[in-house]
Amino acid sequence: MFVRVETGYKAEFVDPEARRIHEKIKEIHPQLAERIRWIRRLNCCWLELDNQRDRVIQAIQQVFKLPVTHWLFTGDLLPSGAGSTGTLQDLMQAAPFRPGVFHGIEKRKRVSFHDEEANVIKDAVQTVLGDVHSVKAAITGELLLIEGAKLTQSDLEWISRNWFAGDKSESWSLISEDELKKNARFQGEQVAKYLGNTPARARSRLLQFREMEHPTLEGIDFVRVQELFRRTIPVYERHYTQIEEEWTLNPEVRFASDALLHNTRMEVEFNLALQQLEEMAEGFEPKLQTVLGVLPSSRRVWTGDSQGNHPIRVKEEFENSLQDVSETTATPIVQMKLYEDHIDNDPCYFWSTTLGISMSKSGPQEGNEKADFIWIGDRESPAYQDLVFVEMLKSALQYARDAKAISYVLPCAGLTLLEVLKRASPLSYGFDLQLDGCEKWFKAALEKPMTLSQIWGVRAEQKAWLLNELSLRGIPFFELGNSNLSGDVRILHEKQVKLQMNIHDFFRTEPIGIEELLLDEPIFVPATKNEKRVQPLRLKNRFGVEELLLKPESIHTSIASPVVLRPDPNFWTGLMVLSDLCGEEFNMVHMEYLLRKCTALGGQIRSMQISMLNGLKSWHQVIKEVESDFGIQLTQFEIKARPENAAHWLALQLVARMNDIRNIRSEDFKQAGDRIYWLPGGFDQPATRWLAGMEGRYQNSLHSAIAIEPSDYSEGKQGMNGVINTLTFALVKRKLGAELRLQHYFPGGFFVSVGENERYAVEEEWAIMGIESEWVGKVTSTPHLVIRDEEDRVYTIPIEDLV
Amino acid sequence: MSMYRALILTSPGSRGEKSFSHALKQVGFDAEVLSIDEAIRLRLEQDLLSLKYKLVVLPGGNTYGSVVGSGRVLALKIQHSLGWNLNRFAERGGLVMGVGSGFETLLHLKVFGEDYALRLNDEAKPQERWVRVIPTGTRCVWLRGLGTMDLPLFEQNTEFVIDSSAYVEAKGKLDRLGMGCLRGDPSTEKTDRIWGLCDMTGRIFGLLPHPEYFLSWTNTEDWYVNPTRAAAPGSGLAIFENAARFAES
Repeated sequence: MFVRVETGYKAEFVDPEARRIHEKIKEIHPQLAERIRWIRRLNCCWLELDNQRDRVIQAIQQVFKLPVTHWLFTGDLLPSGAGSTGTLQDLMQAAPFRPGVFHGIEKRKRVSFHDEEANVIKDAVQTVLGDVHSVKAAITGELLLIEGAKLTQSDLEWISRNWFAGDKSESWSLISEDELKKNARFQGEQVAKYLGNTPARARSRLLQFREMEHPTLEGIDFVRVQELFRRTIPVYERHYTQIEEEWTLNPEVRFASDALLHNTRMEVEFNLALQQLEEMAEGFEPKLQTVLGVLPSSRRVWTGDSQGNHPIRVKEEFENSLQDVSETTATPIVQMKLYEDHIDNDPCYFWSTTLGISMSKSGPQEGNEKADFIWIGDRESPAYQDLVFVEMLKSALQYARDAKAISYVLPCAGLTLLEVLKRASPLSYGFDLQLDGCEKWFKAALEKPMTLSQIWGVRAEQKAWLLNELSLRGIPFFELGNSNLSGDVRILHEKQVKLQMNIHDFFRTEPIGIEELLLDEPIFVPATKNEKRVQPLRLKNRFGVEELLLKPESIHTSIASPVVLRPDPNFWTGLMVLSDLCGEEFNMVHMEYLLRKCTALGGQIRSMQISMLNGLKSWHQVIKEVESDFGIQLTQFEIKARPENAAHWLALQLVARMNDIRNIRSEDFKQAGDRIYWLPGGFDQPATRWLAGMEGRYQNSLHSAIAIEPSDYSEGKQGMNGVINTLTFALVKRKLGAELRLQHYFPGGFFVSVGENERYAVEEEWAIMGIESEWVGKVTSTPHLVIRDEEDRVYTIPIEDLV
Repeated sequence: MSMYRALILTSPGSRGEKSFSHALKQVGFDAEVLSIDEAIRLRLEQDLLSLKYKLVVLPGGNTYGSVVGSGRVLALKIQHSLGWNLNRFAERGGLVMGVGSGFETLLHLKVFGEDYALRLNDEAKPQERWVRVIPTGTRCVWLRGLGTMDLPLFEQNTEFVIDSSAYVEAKGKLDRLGMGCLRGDPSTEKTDRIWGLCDMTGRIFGLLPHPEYFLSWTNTEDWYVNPTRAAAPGSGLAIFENAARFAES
């Protein structure tokens, strides 16, 4: 049972602790202290208890309830804990200015740090409950309740860092007034998250990696592992006599057998994989080749302290060997899938590797020809009457799911095709329909409800295998089309576009609101320059303004790093997203978020390039899915770093088009008076790692969260024009200007702007991390660039002229 | 001279046990210092307590880091792990003293009733000063025959509060029964401030100033100005002498 407890002085008493904090602020920052009209402090405690609910309630009352002087808030656990409503609103009513504008700052001890107060509370609760094992986890913290109409987010962050939770052992967050008035923060899931029971481990990725190196091997059921492997991981073999098309349509599939598991030595499996790679590099050109799955038997997984058999080491060796072959033979690896862990949440202790090797020298093909959703059913007879068929379909579905070959299933029974497509969220960004060979069915499906059937979203790399499986099982199917992110619906017949229109127009949906419209730009712009769009596109967007632009950490702190804007010599603008890999949980939602953040800033993605990566994680699959599911082309797939004992991270470059730079909506200089610094760029520089959120904790303090990389400056002397252009780019939206001191050549790097309040914390962190920084100027309110050059000459240029 | 046994119950963060021990030995008690964990280990429960000890002292300090309220965790341990009922102990002739944080422990144990508490007042700063206190009434056996005295204070600036929802009744009880037995000197303090409470029997005594730190005049700041008084006993010792006298009686 997860419980959050808050205690604070009753409204009738003055809160001396809060008053002390206010006095401290007044000494250092009197202007800010004036904006604070009322302040209160509450003690917080998060507990995980293993006992009956009524006993827990009794214990909390006895430990935390100080009836004469304090109020106790526990959400719905003790509804009459305080005043009339039992919520913080009782306390808010004591504020002198009502209704008032309230803010909350919450701090809590980090889970991994020693928390003596929590230990005492544990002791006290266990004393009352009479059970020394009743408290599983506890952390303590405080909640600062502040009222002030003129307080900004920047002010609250300053208070948090400097006076409330400056300690590195504590984390803090801001809470809005709405959240304060509700009891959502008392919910078990939220409490569990703080107690570290959910994967909120963005800041401890290095610790995670260390965990991987010391897996717990107790209680492993190796028989079950083998069964799981046999059931779920197909092992493919290339058939040399077949031509590419034949193989794709009818691959020879077999499953890892007992013989392979028990009798094949690890070295043999390695050699087999490497040999196949080398042979293929010599002469064959198959488009797709999945080579091998490896699962050592239990006696080879782990034999005590012998490091040579440690699964992590073997996996590293295997991966490195394949990469060596790949580099020496110039064979790109398009997919390397590593199954590391997670059977009943046990840490990694086995893996298998499935390789796909593309020998195509021409690179990824233009367009989206791959069908990734298929219709399953019987187009002629009422199949639902055939129970045998139903069982077959269920069996095939389970089989496909176990093999992770399908990403979604849309039931079609009783609906027209249009209704199915309209309700399908995976297709909400656009899709293509192919009519070849199923014109009659298509016409019927549009007009009449369909019989028992399903539409499966099939992963591109497992499509061939799945189609073959369906053929072998005698289940009728045909390929229906593919989804993409273009925002359009296209109907194709004999490879010709018969119809192309916006998806909302296709479904005749109502126009959406202005705010949503801003964020609902199409993500993807086809690379063909001559392609013209019929009308402006509007897409559904699952993320809100706040999530995308204001509080990105609400999605995941790992992908909340700033977006880096980069001027492109051809398209003039570009977008780059730096990110790490969110620990183990980097998935398609995170990827979609990154893509959507780019469009929210005003760009439409042309293509995606992976410039830098590091780590051992199995995120290659995600990258591949971007191409297969979203239809965005990977223009480059390059591994520049070997897996190391370091954090997992990734740098994505999303080249985008922006029709008018005035449409940029955020990531620009936001406020006059902000200080502008230059940080040296380059992926190996600590500044880049800091910006990507891998190290440090004040990235979000960048007042306007902007970083500009002036690396493309082909014109002007020593790139000076490039610098000016990028600064103009950041200033034009809010009609601001800047005073700059550009007195030397700037190599590739980043310009960041920092508010006056935050500069000390940020500068200190830079100094600690060894990040070089140079102050180059400040943002001004008049829309002019005032530049002082190396000979102390001053130039004044209106921003509008530069635009 | 009596040789009754006195228990000084310490806990993590408490202080002054040596001074208490010294004071109690001076007036004739056989003082024993015992930590709460040790008491739990020895299973020093209610009956054994009454049998072995005549007096229990809860020293002040910062017990258990004042987490969830000063003296709170110690009170929970006394209540749940030892199962003590100090009111019953007093009814059987036992004496109890709680000083500072120990006083708060007594309040959490509700030996004086449920409507009283201590809170940090508006200027919650640590302080070390002397306060002039006046014993009132005749109920408290610890204060019998004593007049106005100065006692040292080592506390955060706390004040005694009464539950506002039952203020009239609770305040009336204090005044009517003489439980508010130690008050501030109206000539030096603005408000009628309560510095100490006793229970209905007068044997349980909780107070904020520390009598154990004023056992002789050398504890005061001005003894070297007036060295002839150096050998004189302090006002705090008189309180412990009262306890010894009561135990003998």
